[in-house]
Amino acid sequence: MYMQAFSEALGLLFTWQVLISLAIGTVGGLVGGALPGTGLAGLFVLIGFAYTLDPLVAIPMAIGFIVPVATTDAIPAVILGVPGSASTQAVIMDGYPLARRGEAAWALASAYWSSIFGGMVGVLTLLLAIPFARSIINLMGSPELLVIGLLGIGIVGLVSSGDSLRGLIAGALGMLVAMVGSDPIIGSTRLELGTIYLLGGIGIIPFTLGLFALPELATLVGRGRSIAETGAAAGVEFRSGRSEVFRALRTVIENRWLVARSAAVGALIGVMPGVGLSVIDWLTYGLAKSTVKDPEMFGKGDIRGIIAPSSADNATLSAALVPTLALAIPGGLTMAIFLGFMTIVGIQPGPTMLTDNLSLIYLIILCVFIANTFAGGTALLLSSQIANLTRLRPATLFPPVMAILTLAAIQASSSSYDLLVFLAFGILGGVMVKTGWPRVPMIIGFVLAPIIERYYWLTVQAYGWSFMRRPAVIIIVIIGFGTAILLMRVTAKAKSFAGGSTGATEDSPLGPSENSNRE
Amino acid sequence: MDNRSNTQRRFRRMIPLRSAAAVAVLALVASACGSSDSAAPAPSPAPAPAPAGPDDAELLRQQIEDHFQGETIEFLVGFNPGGAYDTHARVLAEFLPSVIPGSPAIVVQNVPGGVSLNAARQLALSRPDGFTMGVYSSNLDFQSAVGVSLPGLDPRLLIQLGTALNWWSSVPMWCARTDVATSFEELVGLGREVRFAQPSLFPAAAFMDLIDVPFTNVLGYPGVPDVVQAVNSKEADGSGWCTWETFDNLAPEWVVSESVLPVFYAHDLDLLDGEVNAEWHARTGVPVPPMLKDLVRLTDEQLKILELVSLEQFTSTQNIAVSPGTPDFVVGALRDAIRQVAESEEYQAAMRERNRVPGYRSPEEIDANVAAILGYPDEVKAVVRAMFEK
Repeated sequence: MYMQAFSEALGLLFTWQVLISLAIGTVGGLVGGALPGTGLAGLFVLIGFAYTLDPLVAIPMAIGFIVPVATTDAIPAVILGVPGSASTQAVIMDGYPLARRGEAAWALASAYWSSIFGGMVGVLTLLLAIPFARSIINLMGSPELLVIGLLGIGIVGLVSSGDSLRGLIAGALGMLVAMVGSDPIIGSTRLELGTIYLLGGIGIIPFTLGLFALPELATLVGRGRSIAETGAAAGVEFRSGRSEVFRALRTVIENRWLVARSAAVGALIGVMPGVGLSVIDWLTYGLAKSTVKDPEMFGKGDIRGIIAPSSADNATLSAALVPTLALAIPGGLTMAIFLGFMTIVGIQPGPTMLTDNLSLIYLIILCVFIANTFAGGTALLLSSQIANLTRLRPATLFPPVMAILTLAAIQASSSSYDLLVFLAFGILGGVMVKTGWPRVPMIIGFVLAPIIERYYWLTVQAYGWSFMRRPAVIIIVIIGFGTAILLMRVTAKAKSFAGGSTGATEDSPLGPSENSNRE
Repeated sequence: MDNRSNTQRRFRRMIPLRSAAAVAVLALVASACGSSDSAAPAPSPAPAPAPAGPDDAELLRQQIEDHFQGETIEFLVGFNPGGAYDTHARVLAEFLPSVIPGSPAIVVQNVPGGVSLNAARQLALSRPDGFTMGVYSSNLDFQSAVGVSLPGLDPRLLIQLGTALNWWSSVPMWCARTDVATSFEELVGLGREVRFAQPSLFPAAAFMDLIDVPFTNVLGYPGVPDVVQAVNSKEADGSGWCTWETFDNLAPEWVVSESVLPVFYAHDLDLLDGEVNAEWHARTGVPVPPMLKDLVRLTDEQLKILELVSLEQFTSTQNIAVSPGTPDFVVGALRDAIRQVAESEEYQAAMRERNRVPGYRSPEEIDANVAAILGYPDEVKAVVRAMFEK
């Protein structure tokens, strides 16, 4: 049955309509991922036409839109220090410092190679896990998802700043912002201040872009020099060209076990619905930092800080298709939209797909593999050109970037209030930079709060406090404490190595940039 | 010289700041112009005089055609893409242009939030010209009718156009894992709280809190697939939202392996159109379980409340509406169009392909259902109102 379905899928793949649709979608996804906050925009546009499209055109195109985002969303993270999507926050930690040292090409190429290999692990997971999806997912319930979410909050507090207390407070503040609107259990309203706009909560895109992008751009303008000139001023030569692509390949091969275990973690957790990409991003970053021999440069431009989350992200995205296709349970917003998309096209995801549409499942797997490889390859070819953006003067770079960010902030809901949110959190972000407070935990808190709140209430209702006796919960908690202890030791060691300071400071109109406070 | 070069440097730094300010202002203006959530509705156009007789039917048709020719209708959907509401709207949007004189284009726009409250409010504030229609949850009508205060909206002011999707005859069953219990009596006799996973606190689930049964609603699952997963992983003993679609599409193995089966109906089937459920029982061979009112001794007041809760199921539709003040001839045209599409075989086939049950309920029936709810005693409505205000 499986072999026959797979051969049918191969036959479907090598038809002009599938290949062209996949190519169109992949190009769209490459562009969408490179523009911060617009990763899903292509999919939303496609939904408008979905009803009229043949499934063999619509689905490969949709896969093409989705998969490359996990690759090219590293571009704004490295070049601008702005998260391209929820899954590239950790990449900023080391990607942006590398760009400021003139090594953006190496950083980007490393991210792409990691994405390609991580994506392969994800595809393999998808291929092997789908027939057993129900059994695999039955291993994890609400308690396990709750502790994974808490683990994500805890780790980000430890990795993102020299001052862990400030990190945890910022995370709590992000959780508070996420609570505006309505609760995820019975929908009762809270903190909406009597307004209709806030009933829907604060949008993640204007919030994230405002908090990160505006202060970073202001810093860039205030510095008056290009991103890469920081490194140049410190005597580091700007490096680009094909040699950086091969240099990145050598780096990824040297760190092959890091790539493999990060991808494995990403795939394992990606199969579990409801956890979210942000958790996996930070989990793998934290695990990498706590398990390598010399983590002192993490947060200051350690290439492994890019490799780990990049390989995990692509593995996660592919693995998230397991619960989406097999059980109709989306692993996050992207999968929820894809799920709806399939329904519009006339394909019902869920257990019946495994019996009625197995060849379509294999076609999707093949499309994911091709899109991931094609996207990574294309991005590698363009990595030097993209890296050259870091050499542009702020006067050249700033206006188009500001226009893109502003439009991205409001494109999700077309509401002018999103622009106010964007500006308001931009001001807050600037204040946080000026006063040395980390912003990353705030975003993680914002993203994880609904997950933690939902699974906390589900856990308490279904299990009471007996959930703490579940074996999987105990294992996850042990892993979490172990990771936390290792991270605290690494942090303490880094502080003593640096003589008590947490990093160099730089002149900036807004004060020390966050990079200088990162561990 | 130093001062001039400092000045020049400061001036050059100002350029991107000024550019940014210009971009931000332009974006604010563009979004304000485009945003519909702050726009006040324009004065409604003067309604055309009603045709005097049958000879004016052609005149009316021409009038409608002139009104819609070359125009675009924005179809608001109160939920995210891909769900039942979205599918309903998108399939309708494919068929409606061919039956509305003037063949306007129809563009679907998702406005999620507040369980379709955002979309309903945006619809209420839109210009009353028929170029904005929306689909929202009839649950808002029900809530409003029992006295729940909905911020910024009285859905009863919206002008109903009808609905083309049958939701009311898909009556949810309360199902349980057969390793836990196979009958209502076994459930009650377990000697512990029985956990039912629910996708939301719907009235029938809230009703269980009013009677003496050891049932606990486990709330917070994002959707029915998550509820199914909770039952399969034994996180819950069952669910109160087991529709035929759940059994057919999301958990076909339940009936095949007899691992999860319906135990009772909470709703009063005597008041409902259970045609679709009856067909499912006949097709699958799953026996029709008993009704709650026959299993538990209920007081007269509880029976009345259960009746109103069942009416909530009966009135469960995806209401399509336009804003108050829309001219009668426009409303009439849109109502006719929706009815024509709902009754067409092509539309019905397209919905069935997407595992949706097509149907039609006229705006008069929808309004009559709301009137029936309003006619219930205040003390009964107060109890049901409290279920929504938890």
